[in-house]
Amino acid sequence: MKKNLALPIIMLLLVSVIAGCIGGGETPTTTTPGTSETTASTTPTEEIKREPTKLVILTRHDTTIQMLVKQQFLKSEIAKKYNIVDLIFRNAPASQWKVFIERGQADIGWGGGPTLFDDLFKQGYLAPIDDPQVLGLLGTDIQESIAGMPMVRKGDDGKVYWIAAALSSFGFTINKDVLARWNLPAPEKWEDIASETFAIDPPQVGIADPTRSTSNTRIYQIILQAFGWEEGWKVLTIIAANSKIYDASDAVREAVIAGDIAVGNTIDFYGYTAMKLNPSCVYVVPKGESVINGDPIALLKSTRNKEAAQAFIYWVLTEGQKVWLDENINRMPVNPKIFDTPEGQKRPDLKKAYELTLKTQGIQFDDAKALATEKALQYYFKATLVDASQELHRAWVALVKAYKQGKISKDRYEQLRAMLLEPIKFKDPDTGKIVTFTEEYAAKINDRLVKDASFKDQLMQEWRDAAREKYNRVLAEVQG
Amino acid sequence: MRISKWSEKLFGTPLFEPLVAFSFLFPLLYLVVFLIVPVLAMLFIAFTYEGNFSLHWFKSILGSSYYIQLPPQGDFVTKQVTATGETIYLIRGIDFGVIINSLVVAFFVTLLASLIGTIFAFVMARYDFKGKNFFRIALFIPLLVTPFVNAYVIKRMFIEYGLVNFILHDIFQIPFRIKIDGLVGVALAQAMAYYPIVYLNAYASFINIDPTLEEQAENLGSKSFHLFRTVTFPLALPGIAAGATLVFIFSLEDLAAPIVFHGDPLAKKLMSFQIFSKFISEFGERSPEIAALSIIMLTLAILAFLGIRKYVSLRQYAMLSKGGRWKPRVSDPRPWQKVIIYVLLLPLLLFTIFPQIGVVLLAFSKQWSVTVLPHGFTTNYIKEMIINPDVRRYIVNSLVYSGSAVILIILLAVTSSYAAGRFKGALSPVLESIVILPIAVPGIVVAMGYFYFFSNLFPNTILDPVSITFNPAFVLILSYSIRRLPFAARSVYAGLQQVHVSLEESSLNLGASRWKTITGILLPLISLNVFGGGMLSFVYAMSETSTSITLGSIAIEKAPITAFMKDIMLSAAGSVNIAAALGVLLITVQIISIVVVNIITKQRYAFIGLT
Repeated sequence: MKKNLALPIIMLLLVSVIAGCIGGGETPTTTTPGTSETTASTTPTEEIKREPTKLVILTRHDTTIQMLVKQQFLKSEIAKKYNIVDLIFRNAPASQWKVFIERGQADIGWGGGPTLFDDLFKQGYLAPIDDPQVLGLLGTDIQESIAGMPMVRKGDDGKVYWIAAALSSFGFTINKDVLARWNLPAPEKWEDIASETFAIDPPQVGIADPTRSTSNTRIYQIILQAFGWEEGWKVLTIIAANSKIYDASDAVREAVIAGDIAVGNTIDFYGYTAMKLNPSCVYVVPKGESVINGDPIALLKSTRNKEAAQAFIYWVLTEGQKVWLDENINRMPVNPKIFDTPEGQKRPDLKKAYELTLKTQGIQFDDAKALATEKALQYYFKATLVDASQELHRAWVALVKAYKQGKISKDRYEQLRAMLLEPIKFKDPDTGKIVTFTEEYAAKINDRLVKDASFKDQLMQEWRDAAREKYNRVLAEVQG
Repeated sequence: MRISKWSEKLFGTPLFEPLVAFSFLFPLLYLVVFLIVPVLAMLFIAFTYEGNFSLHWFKSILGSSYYIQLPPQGDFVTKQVTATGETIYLIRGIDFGVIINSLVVAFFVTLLASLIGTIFAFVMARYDFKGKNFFRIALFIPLLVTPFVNAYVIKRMFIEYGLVNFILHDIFQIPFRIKIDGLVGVALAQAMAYYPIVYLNAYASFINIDPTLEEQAENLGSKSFHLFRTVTFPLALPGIAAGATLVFIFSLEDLAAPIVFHGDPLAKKLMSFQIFSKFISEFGERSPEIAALSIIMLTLAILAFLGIRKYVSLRQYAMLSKGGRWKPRVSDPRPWQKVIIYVLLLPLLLFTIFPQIGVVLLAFSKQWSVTVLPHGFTTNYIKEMIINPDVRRYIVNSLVYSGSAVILIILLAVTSSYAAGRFKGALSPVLESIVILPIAVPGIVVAMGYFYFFSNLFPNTILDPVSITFNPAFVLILSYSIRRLPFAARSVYAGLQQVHVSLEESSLNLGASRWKTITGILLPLISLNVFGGGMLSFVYAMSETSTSITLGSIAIEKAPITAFMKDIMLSAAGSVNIAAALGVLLITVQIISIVVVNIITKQRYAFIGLT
């Protein structure tokens, strides 16, 4: 019987081995608790012995940026001064951020576009930035607005809730070789890719699924505002009909570089990277329809170490700006002083692009309006244009082909085109009434889509089925 | 000592023995708690509609033409003419809707893999020809798993200006180019990766056929194809079918190929991709539609598995190392057979090992943007993999997770094999089935199940995927230990079958305890099987994708190697090469394992039937 003891002992050993392996992952929320609410107004004389701190950063930035920031920041004077020993990045989907903040587990939010941060701000998830050092940068190093777009979000209380850490503009990356191969013109405006010219097989335009890409969501919002809700959806429908729809904006860029498609919707920095990798690629800013965005950094309500968190924000807005200049990152700094550093002087190309960005003419963009329908836009787009993309593309290409080959008259073409683009009708799961996806309706269901998965699944199924049915009907008509 | 009725009934031992009971209960409970319960947890979500039990989601899925589209839509091939006057045939496949697409792809992958695998197996088993050793080695190469990167290489082979068109159009002057994308692309990538599984199983079957059976048939006047069709093939069929089932299930659950081909909307219309995509974009949400789809996928995989199990007992081919006792029927090929071997099979073989070659080329090249092959030699990516602490960490993570999983796997495999192989209790057949069940559970279903299970039962702990404190280590070790258990379990079970029970009985009769008997007699005798099985489980744990790229990628600094590969494949520039470098590392680990297993266990075909 004694030998049977060996068994539990082995088990115990096993468990301890595994626990040992896992033990490496100590809980990351060891931000020093109980740090006083005093701000980081550090006079050089006060040399406090600070507890080692780890900052938790919620982000939408990719691994390359995370790695580089961590490497450079941990070497910096600021990290030493505040005894910040580690940065823990969580690249979580936007919906997940609130959960982390509510659970009091994160200090800083960084990257993901102004839409995401305004959403957090509206719902009270952000804490005001009050470090005099950081605030001192505003209006001097960092402009409060560029080309009409806010680089700083101030609340009604006059406090600062987020600050842009990088600039981005939206446009196309084109591959000249592929355009030539298919005899396609280089697009200059959004309408250009929403035209019959690009109705070819295989599709030569690449866009990204808005439920997976905040940058592409912003592009679609720009189009909806530039053309108006109803007309805007028609433009989006044709763009989707002409496109391959990728799961991530990075995949769009890769596809343009590899010559899989001729044109891709990208943010500027993706375009610049593409230009470096494949000389036939060019980044195009849509004429008069571009939007510049500040990509924010913000202090989260849940931070347990305000002082260190704000010190990190200060680093990102000053010294840390050089991260954007890395060859593999190529983003536009928000603080132009970085161009005066040795690292900055090595990138005259980015400086030129920066100056160009300042001059771009954008459309007037209403943040609040975009925010009110953001989720609804993403899911409606996903259901009717991404999930139904196969049917949509077939119907559209067949229609254009039939018209170009003279098989149908112009009138008939216009009629069928209108049919293809008309808004779908569906049953509102709440009222049972047949409705269309108007801007009001979108705003009404926007928040519910986030909270009620069953409601969302139901609605998306209806949208998807109605859209596919419509596209197939048009195809049937075209084929007679 | 009291005789215990229930102990005899359940465990097959009249006296209650803790060690035997443990051997039964430990693997059984482990699999129930960490496989069956999490999967069942999804049932609750899938069967809930407006707060009540309902079949709504299943009905709406099965009734939607998005999931089941009959008759199918689209053109299998379309012809395009470019501005430069070149003709391109675009081959993508037709759309049957998400569910049937998955089945159709899995069916054709299985068919193609079985066909190629069986032909190679027959040739290798029955003919002696120059270069046979090259064939033997090369046939292992497609089995070297490099998640994502090899599918990426395959995709690049079939683009308009890729390798295939270079050969067909530029060299052989075929007046058009072809481009393969969509479902056909996915199917091709899978068939190229999985056919050696059929090959290995079929080969084992062919060499194990008793030659006297064929000789009898020949004496009765049967020959050539008739002999093959009526005698040889039916005898080999169980092995072929077993390999084919694995291919079918692997294809059904594969995520790497759909992810790589996802630019084409058709490639997205597969069950595995739909579940994955939704999981990633709406992380933390309990989508009943996707839970229902997971259940449907699971049901289909289990049906395929049971269907074939009825036909052939899976353990049958785990004992093949006994083979080769008789003089094998090997002959020299006739001239026309030589032509087939060198003109048809050799190019085919070279073609199917190209993805792995491409991965190695990519890891050592500067760039692969618009050229047929990657170009510019550099060792920077290999260096970066070793030097960069961030990259190195993922390798260490994977080694730690897989290593820990293997410890558990060995314990599970030994206990379950011992219990099921040596005792005839009511639980024996249950245990026997449940241990290989993980083969039939698609990885993405495990991932979904774990997600619901751990976030519900352990909220706000390191086990909760929606907590910032989440550490994927524990969950991944669990997942690996279950998903890769069948490999080791079958190897250990096979070893156990070869050790006669009388050896243990003598030990027990001479007064040794059960523990002494197991540790002193049985374990040393089956140690090589344990080692071989453990190694194999380790290799496949290192390259596990489904749970690694979903649950594992949540906390990126604790992610395993495959999650990192997927992450960088889709993000920063130039990173495909780093992913390829990691692929080379995986290939190296796998080759070393194969060689070590073969040397130590002296089993030439250690991998047969265990893939």
